[in-house]
Amino acid sequence: MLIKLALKSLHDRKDSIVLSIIAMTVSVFVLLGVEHIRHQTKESFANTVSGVDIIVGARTSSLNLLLYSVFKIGSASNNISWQSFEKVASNPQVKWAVPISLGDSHKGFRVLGTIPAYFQHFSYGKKHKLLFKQGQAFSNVFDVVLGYQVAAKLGYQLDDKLVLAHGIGKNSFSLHAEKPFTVVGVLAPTGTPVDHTLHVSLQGIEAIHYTGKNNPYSHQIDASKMHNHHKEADLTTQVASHLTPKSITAFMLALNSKMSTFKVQRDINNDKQEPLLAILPGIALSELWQIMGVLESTLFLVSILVFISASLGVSAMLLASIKQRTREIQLLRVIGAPPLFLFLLIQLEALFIAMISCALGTAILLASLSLTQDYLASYFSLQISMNIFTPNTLMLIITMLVTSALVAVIPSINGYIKSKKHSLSDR
Amino acid sequence: MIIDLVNLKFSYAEQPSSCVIDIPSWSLSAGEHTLIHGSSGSGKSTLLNILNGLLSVDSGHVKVLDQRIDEMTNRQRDTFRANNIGYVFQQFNLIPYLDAIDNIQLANYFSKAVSQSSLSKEIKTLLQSLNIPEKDWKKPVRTLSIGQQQRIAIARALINKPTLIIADEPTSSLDQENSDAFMKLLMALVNKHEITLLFVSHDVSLSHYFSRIELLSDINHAGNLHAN
Repeated sequence: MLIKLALKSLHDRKDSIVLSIIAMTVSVFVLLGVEHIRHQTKESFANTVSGVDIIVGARTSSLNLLLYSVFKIGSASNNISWQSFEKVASNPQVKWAVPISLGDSHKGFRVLGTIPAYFQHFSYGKKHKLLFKQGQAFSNVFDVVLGYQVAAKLGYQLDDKLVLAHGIGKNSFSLHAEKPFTVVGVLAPTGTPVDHTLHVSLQGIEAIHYTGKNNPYSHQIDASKMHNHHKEADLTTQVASHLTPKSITAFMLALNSKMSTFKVQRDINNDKQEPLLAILPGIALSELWQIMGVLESTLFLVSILVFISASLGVSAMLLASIKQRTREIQLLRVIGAPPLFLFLLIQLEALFIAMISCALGTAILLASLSLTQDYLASYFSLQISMNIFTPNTLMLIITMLVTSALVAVIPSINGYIKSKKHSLSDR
Repeated sequence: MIIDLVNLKFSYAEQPSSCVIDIPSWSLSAGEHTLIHGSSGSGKSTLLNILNGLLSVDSGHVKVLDQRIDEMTNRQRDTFRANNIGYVFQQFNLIPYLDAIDNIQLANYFSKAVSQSSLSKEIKTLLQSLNIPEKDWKKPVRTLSIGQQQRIAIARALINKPTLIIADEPTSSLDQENSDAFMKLLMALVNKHEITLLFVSHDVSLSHYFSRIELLSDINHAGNLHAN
């Protein structure tokens, strides 16, 4: 009967109730949305790289090294020598070592120079390997493998030709235009910065960078081209052996034994020949997340405040309604309703508003996630899962219901006191 | 005795010095149909609130159905009221957004005088005997005419099989025709169920329905003192 009365009385005042529900729905939507995206982003971040034990680059801050090597944000302070790479790679503790060379771009997308082993070893998420959607890894100097989004946004197909630029500015290397790269592979989507990266061989990078008039390699390429016009690919392969890089930007290591991680890291950091920095990606990622954490906490706090203000709004509305319902309260008292009944009635009304709002907010969140999922994935490389019903969000919803019930104690107590005092005297 | 008042004194907490009710002695015996006649401001509503237990007296005895309601706890009074006293007001007798059946059920909810199994049958019989067309039973009562609403109010007052019905100016918002119909129906029902009726009105033309007629100013001495 109490539930029926609460529902019918809400229905009776639907104009003001609907507004309260809208206000609360928006706040539930914001709170759940922020919470969900917060967790997803964190996961997305942590999933960017896995299976790599150590990343080595020139001396800089560990965050900077992580950002430019993994997230392709910012640029390296300095390069490191090929000798250092070979020295570390020959360490018996090292299972595999993959060099990377950065600094070039194509239409705003970063270019990563590496070796074919990169595609076997680099993994993301829960040890997911990189998969080819089309084609295969590069084998020739002027082959390029595109990240999923690069191909999707620029509309490249296999065998398309494209030209790289030095830096992220305009193309100032004439040879680049004459020596276009051929698309030989497109990677499957990963939801990580890999999707936005073009992968070429280290030799390809070298070929771009050693194109001065006095550069012996450039003559070699030109010479070989003159001899064999129709077999360019084979020739560039021959040439590739001459294109050993002098320096690279960074390299990634996996070790045979995790136990040796810190020792290897220390040895690299203490290298006497060249100042190097070795970082553990997991630790650097959590450092990075700590910085992001301030922002996400602020967002979360703001959404909590939005929710509390919506709860207070509902309470204010209920409080105002008690004044209009004086006669109803008197009537209920005369037919035998104890003051507790009035208290519970108003509590229940607040709870119903909160419940409807939570249901609506969740539904709208689900709807908007399914609508924006593709957009978020393609523009921000954010893989937001549709599953918002984690224990965490369920706890959050329960907390919201409890909060709104607590805030509704104010009008409920008012109703209780009013029903206790009020008699028929002011009829 | 259905009602027995002895040395009853009451004043509102806001004005403790001005006594609103001062009744040395007054009683109502079982089966009596009494009209209390009083103008507004003579302490009518206050007296009714004391009788139904919503107000606690300062001193004196209030016996309703031979029970000292001035000695009961609030919770006991709420239940006592739900179980034993039917109430009909001038207006706002019903929760406007509930239908007739829900309104009657609500009154029963607080008393449990009628078992759930027989309740809907009981409600049907009552509504039929009060000439409420069946098509109106499931409509929110605010959409019904005032005459119908007042009749549903009688049904609401009767559902818990009360011993006493207190009616507070129930006819003053009705026209003459509806008022007569209402009075006839009410008198027939209280006679049939042998219910004691305490009827408060300023309308002297209703006097012929009652066996006993009293002036509130004769009962309540506080009003006299105040007027003088």
